[in-house]
Amino acid sequence: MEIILVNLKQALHLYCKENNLAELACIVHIALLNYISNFSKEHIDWTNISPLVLNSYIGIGEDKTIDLLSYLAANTSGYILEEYRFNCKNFVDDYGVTIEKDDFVENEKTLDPCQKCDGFHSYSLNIDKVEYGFSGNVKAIQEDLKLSDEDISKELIILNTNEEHVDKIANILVSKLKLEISKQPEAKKGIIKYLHSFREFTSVLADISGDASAITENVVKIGKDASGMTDLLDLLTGKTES
Amino acid sequence: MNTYKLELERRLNKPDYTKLPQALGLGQTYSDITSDNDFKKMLHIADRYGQKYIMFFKLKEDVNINTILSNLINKSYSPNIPMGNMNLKVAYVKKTGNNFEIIANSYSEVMKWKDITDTRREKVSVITRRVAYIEYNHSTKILTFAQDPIGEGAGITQDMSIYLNEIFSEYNLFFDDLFETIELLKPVCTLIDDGVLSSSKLQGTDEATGRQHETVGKNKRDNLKDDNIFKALKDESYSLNRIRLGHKNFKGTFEVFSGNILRIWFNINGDNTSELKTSITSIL
Repeated sequence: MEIILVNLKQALHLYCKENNLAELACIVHIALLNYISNFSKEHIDWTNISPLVLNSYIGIGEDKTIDLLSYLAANTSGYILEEYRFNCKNFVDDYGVTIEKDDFVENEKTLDPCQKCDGFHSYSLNIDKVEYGFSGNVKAIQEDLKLSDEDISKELIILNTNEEHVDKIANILVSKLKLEISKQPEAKKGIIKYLHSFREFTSVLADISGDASAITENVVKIGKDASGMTDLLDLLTGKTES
Repeated sequence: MNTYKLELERRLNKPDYTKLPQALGLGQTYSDITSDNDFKKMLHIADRYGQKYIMFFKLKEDVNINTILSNLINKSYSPNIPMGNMNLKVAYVKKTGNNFEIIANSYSEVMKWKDITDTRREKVSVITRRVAYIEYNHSTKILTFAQDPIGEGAGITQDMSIYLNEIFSEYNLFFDDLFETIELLKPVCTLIDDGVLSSSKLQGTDEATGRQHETVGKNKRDNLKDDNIFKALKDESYSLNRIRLGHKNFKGTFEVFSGNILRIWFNINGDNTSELKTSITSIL
């Protein structure tokens, strides 16, 4: 029997655990929350979740991101909906209609008219070209993935304890920057610097309930360490060219 | 097969018409009903639903409702079944206080694709009954006119006006003197802003530049109300071509067509017909 997990966070972390992504669970969690917060519009209840864009923050591959979102849609209720997007049958290069996964019936005429030609087509997942789309309920996701102080220190501590992981994330980020090969090592150094300061920041968070002087000391340290980050900024904005 | 039954099953979806015996207290399940009269009773309800085009009108300020009510004559439900001729005929009139409802029907010939074999389709001519349903509520002074498909494309605007005038002229009333058409763009935009309706396709023309703009949301749950085209349609800097819409309480697509016609794209039933009309009339 299929079990519907009520909690999105629970489902997300379970997926990561079952798919050898446990170390990336916090990144996936923050990336999804960040995506929803940044790409949602005011007064719009549901927002599009693009696997392509979301993957650029996570780096697990577009297919795996689709698999993750499908899993979340299937195993939770009210957060993420999976849908199939098909092209028009008369104008095959143009978008036609979107059908929610739960409403889709193989080879049955669509209930909604085609956005291109107003006709009612029928589709098969085995034959027709399909694009997997996802809608996210903005409020529900933000509420469920909200990070408490305790969560932040607990989740982000993974970055503090795993040097290899920092290197892995730096490689993923560099590959996404589309820089010339000669500039990639320098960019990676900058990113590692950034991630280390992020690690320091998480230790500030870990101290959040502790001594105020320790927090101040750590923040000052981050400030000094972060001075090297302008190199990365220059590299990405092309200032080194001038 | 019983002609009323045939028409009933053509008009409504199975889940809808099979509910009717219980709703009407006929004491039998749908599959057990054989009486002509019972099918006629069910069709009387079904004729109020299933139309694909709806227009909204307001009683003109200087018109006394009694002028209309005194001319209208109650008529018991007498649908043009089996078909006598194809002309438009009033099938039902009922006055209740200052409110009234009218059902009219006609027949038209349409060409439809028919599967001859698994691999061969042919266009065949089909004569189909077309129903118009008029409902006037004096508390809002709004008349809704729902019409089955008649004619093609933009011609529907003209055809609906002809049908309305023809129905009222039977009672020596000139419809255009009594009611004014309500434009739907503004009320629909208000309902989109309020979250009752959402839009998945917006098409408008910038009259100054002659450019046509269109935005289509691929995401099923998206609402294009944050898009610049929506703002331009709302402030009338673009003229409206189309707004394709959905309702928060039921699935199915409809759209504003020609500025004042609501075009229904799905098999509408009693519940969502009422919900749709009520949502719109509530803010007119």
